[in-house]
Amino acid sequence: MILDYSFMRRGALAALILLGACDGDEGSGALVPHELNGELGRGDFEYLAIDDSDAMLDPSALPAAIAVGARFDLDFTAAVALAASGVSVHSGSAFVSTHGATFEVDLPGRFVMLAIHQGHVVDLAHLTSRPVSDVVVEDTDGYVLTELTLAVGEVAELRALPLDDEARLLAGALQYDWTTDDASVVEVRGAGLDPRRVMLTAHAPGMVDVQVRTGEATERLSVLVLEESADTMEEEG
Amino acid sequence: MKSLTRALLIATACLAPACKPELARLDLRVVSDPEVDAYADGTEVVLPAGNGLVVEVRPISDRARDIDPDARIDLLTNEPSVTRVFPVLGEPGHFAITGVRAGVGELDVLLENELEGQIEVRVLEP
Repeated sequence: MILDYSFMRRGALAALILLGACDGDEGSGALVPHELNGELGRGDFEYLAIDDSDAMLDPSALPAAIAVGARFDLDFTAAVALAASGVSVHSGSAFVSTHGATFEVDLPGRFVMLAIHQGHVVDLAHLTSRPVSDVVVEDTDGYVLTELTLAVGEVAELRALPLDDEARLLAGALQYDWTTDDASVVEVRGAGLDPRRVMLTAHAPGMVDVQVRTGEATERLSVLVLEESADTMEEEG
Repeated sequence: MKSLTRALLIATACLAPACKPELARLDLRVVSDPEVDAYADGTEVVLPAGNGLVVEVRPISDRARDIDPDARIDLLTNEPSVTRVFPVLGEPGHFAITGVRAGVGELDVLLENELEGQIEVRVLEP
């Protein structure tokens, strides 16, 4: 390769630095140039969660992997001057389809996204998608659960996390279906706008399975409901 | 004298087309870092499905010299379900080529809006 785009990356960084020096905020040192994630060095792609069900932990970086079947949004901010405003992000492959203003991952693998301005590519970025191989359930303290004991009347908040086959957390908004074997023993209710989160309410003594399913992955949680709480039993004992 | 003038005119007419450099081949180079096994030369581009790369296209004349460096080059896909191509903003002769899905497609090469040839794009299973 004789020509590469590293000169453009350096040029774009220099432009950012110069812009920062001219913005009237002299001496503040507020502008901290960072490495642009566009592969041509002409700007930054920004990953956007479309709703609370996205398990993306660090919105300041592009995700390591997005779940197959998940929805997401991607924005682009150009670091180079454009003749007119308006850069839109487009899928460059059949791996990702467009649904209105959001994208949906259809296939696992590495895929390219393009920032396009008036029919011309401004920059591009590659992302990775992986199937959801596992889903785990954790409590509000972050402890992963496979079983749970509740007393009648007790309420527990749980949330599901989508993982790939190497137990890495996957980004992207997914649909989660929570079910209980017996709602008269343990009732499952949504907890706000995040479909990953639910509230379990223990109504009667017994043993039930609570399941959460996303895509092809299912996790089963055994819930034992006691007549009275373990603390109460200890006090009585 | 009249016959001499006529001969000169005929000779000039014959030489004029020969002075225009004809496209002999394309020089195609990958100028982005696709981070995957990808390949490009004047006749074909090979890349895995889902991925994209940026190439610089230079037409080479049959006289071993470049055609007018300002000549307009366009690439157009014949098979958008297999491969797509976009010009790169502000970089004439640079194009982003993407592998939409596995298969074989072709890019028409237009020089000054005239079809000059084709580049095969082989998009491999990822």
